[in-house]
Parts: sequence; C-alpha cells; structure tokens
Amino acid sequence: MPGLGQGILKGMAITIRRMFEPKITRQYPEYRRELPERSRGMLTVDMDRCIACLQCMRICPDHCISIEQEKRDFDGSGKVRPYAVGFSIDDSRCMYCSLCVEVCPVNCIYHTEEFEVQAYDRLELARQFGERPVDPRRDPIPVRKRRASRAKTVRKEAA
Amino acid sequence: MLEEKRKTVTERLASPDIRDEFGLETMDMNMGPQHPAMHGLLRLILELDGETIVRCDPIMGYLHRCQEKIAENRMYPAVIPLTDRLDYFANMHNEHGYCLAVEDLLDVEIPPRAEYIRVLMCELMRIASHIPSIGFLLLELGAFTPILYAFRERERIQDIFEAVTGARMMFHYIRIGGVKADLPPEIPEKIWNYIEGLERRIQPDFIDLIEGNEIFISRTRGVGKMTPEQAVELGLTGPPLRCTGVDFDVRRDYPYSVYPELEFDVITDDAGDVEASYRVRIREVWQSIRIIKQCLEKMPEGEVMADLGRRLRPPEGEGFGRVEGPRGEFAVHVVSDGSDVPYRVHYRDPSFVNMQLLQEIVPGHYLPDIMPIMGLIDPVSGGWDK
Ligand code: SF4
Ligand code: SF4
Repeated sequence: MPGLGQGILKGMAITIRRMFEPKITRQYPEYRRELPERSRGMLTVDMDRCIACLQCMRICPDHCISIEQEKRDFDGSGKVRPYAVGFSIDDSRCMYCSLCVEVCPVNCIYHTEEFEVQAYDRLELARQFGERPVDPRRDPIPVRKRRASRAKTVRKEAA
Repeated sequence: MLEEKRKTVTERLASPDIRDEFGLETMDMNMGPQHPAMHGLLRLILELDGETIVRCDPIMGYLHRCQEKIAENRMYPAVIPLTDRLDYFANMHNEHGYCLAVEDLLDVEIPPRAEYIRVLMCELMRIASHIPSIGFLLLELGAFTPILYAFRERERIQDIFEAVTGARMMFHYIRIGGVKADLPPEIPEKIWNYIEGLERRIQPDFIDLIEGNEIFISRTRGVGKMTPEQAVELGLTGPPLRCTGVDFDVRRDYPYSVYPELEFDVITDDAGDVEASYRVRIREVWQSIRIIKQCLEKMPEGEVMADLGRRLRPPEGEGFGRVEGPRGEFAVHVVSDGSDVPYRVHYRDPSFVNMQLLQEIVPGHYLPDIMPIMGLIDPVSGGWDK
C-alpha cells in the first residue's frame, strides 16, 4: 500500500512547522488579556444618578434586579420624587445581556470589566447598592401584573 | 442487509423458548447521557446483536429549559438573549431567525448597513461552527490534535465577536430592527486579515491533513449512508441533507436579508455518508469566506437600527422567520396577541429534526460507527432540547 504512513508524515510535518510559530495559548491567571471596550462584565449602579424609574427591573429577562422604591422630598419643597432605597443585582442570575444598560434613561447602570466572582452562598452573589438591603429572591412583580392584566382582557373579550 | 439483520433478530426474538435454550439474545445498552464522546447530553438506547446495532432510540430532554414557555413571559426584546442559549454553537443564527420573525410581524424596514452586518456576523459564525464540528468529528474518531486547531480558529473569531458584541458566546447583538451597535472602526480590517489568514491555513491544517488519510477514510466512507429520498423524508436540512446531493439552501431558495445580492454556491455532494458531510462542511467554509469578503466590500454606510419606539407592541398576527444555520434550517414562529409579550414562540431547531436520522440510519452499523454518524448530524444539545 503506497499511502501507508503518509498520514503520519503529513501530521508530523505540521507539528514541526508549528513548533516554530508563536504559541497562542495564554497562561490565564498570570496573563490577562486586555478586554475590548464593549466587553460586558459585572454590573454596577451609580446610585446618585438613579431616578428609580424601574425600567431596568422590568426589562430584565432573569429578574435579577430588585429595587425598593420610596417617595422622598429631597429639598423640602414638598415635591416628592421616587428614590431607590434598596437596589440589588443578583449576579447568580444575571446573564450580562446588557438590556438593563440600554433601557436606563440616565445611563447610571453600566458594565464594569470585572468578571470573576465567587462566593460560598448563592445569596452572597447578590450585591446591594442602596441604603437598605432588599431581598434578591423577591418575585418580579411586573411580569405577574402583566400576565394578570392580559388574562383580564382575554376574559373580557370572551364574555 | 439491514432488513435481513432486523428480520433475523425479530424472528429469533419471536420465540422465547429458543432464546432461552440457545442463549441467543440481543443486548440492550445505554450510551450516555454522560458519555465522553457524546455531543452534549444525549442518551441512546441501543439494542445490540453482537457488535451490530439493531435498534437505536435517542432519548432527549436532559437539557430541557422550557425555552418556548419562558419566551411567553418575556417582552419581545428580552427573548433575544434567551435564543442565544438554544444552539450555543451558532447563536447569531438563532438571534437572526427570531428577529426576522418579529420583524415579519412588525413589518419594518431594516437599514441596509444593519443587514450587511448581520450577514457578515452570521457567516463568521458559520465558520466558527463548521470548523469545530469537523474537529469534533475527528476527535470522535480518535484524533485529538484537529480539535485544538479547530478551536484556535474559533478562538480568533470569538475575539472578533467580543470586540463587536461585547461577549464571546452569548452575543445578544442582532436586535429587532437592526443590530445593537455599528462595527468598531478597526474591526473590518481585522476581519479581513483573519479571513485571509484562514484561507492560507485551511488547506495545510485541515484539508491536507484529513482528506486522504486512511484512518479517516476507513472510518467514514460509506458510514451513515443514506439516499436523497431518505434524507428528504426525514426532513433533514443543512449539511446532512446536502451531503446526499439534494440542492437545498434557505439562503438561496427562500432568500432573506441581503443574500440575493451576494454571490455564493450551494455545496452538495453525492456520497451521502459521513465523509461527504465533512466535504460539504469544509467547502461551505470557503463559500462563507467568499460571502464575508463581498459583505466587507459592499457594506454601505448609514444607520444600523430602525426606529421602533420604546415599547414594542406588535399587532395581532403571526410572524415567521427562517435562516440557514450551520446545522440546517432554523425557523421561528411567533404569535402575537397585541401585547408586549409574545403569545407563543416556536423554534424549529435543526439539531432536533436532524436527530431523527439516528433511528433510521444507525441500525445495521457497528457500535463504533455511532460516533462518526453523530459527527455527520453534529447536533448541539442546547438546540435539540430547547
Ligand atoms: S444584564 Fe441582563 S440579566 Fe443582567 S441585570 Fe441586566 S437585564 Fe438583567
Ligand atoms: S433604569 Fe436606570 S434610572 Fe431607572 S431604576 Fe434602573 S438604574 Fe435606576
């Protein structure tokens, strides 16, 4: 058989050629690649700018943002504005989809370059940003409401 | 041969006395769900007569995540990141299919630049999916090096994707009405360089190494042989269909996006076995390179997102979108009831449909042939389980 052994020779030729090329493997913990500008890491919130509009909480597909809203009179003029007393982002659920970042009207929630998190307990992964901690396991109210309202319209139409 | 095999076994099993007397029986064997060579989580119940497979039943559902039901509880834009989790080796196509379906509902016009970026990304994704699937096929035949070469290529494409979309796997880039953001300024050149490098590397690293290799030929030629009629009957799409010689490609036959403006060939092969599916895949990579070059040359300037308003409420009705993914036709059917969440979303995933050929084709083969046949289908468990 003339072809016998040719496969091995061809393979070895590639192996030898590769030996003189630069390696592309990176030794991860020691060597860290520079992340591109758009890379999406863990989220953080600038609480000073948040206007507690709850848009990020509503859009989030994984319901990982929990916000406790309170009406506050900031300058004593009697005009109340919503204020986020509690704000938690549950990193154990977040999938870094960036939807919350895009809907935020004041751009106060944004991605950082962090991407390594570890904890002994799942709840530790929920990071609190507000004055008061919120329970990150809280059920997402908007979805329930929306489904209920839809059911109502369907029932109304049926009747 | 196959019919004979089946008949003899059935006849033998018909009489339990004989079975007891002579110890003639088939053996049931489970392969998977956790099997080192299996593509993801799939359990195969195999009935063996010696080394020959008499029956092969795939059991799916180990990665079922209720994707379709979850989609009924999410707003339209919030379903896109979830479609990324379907076929996680070709997420761009999933996003594209879903967005096409919702755009069909909304009847919006997509800016031309966005269309070109979508096609560009999808074709890069096809390369990033085809090359590792060839690597997996060889890995299952016992060759370890090609998978590393394949992943080196995929890694480079993922670097490009990361710079464009911000993530390496779960892009969430194609949006309803366009794409998330324009390409960064340095990216077209980077893609061009990569494509030219790939053109140089693909011949020595893959084609020369694989084609003509005796072990490869003896393990794949004639394995998983099917006729075009069988393939059509089973509803196969993508490379498993085209490797039998059926000339069908959604990109050409049901054109979407800017594919009508681009030049490419639909690759077919007549053999209809595992080796033919390999040939179809590697030649499709060349076609993808062609498409990417045309996209980069023809790409117009302009907007990348149509204005759809803040809250998306498609009118009542149904939308349908189909794209040609690397594994076959990926189609999405969206039903809207006029609210801001879909009433029903259905995904037709190629991995799921193509998996049918296991039951038809595998019986009559030897046990080790299962792995090359899985390489022919190249399913992804996120896809078949949804
Ligand atoms: S990135 Fe996505 S999953 Fe994470 S908090 Fe924002 S919307 Fe939710
Ligand atoms: S969308 Fe922005 S402003 Fe509104 S609640 Fe979320 S973080 Fe605050």
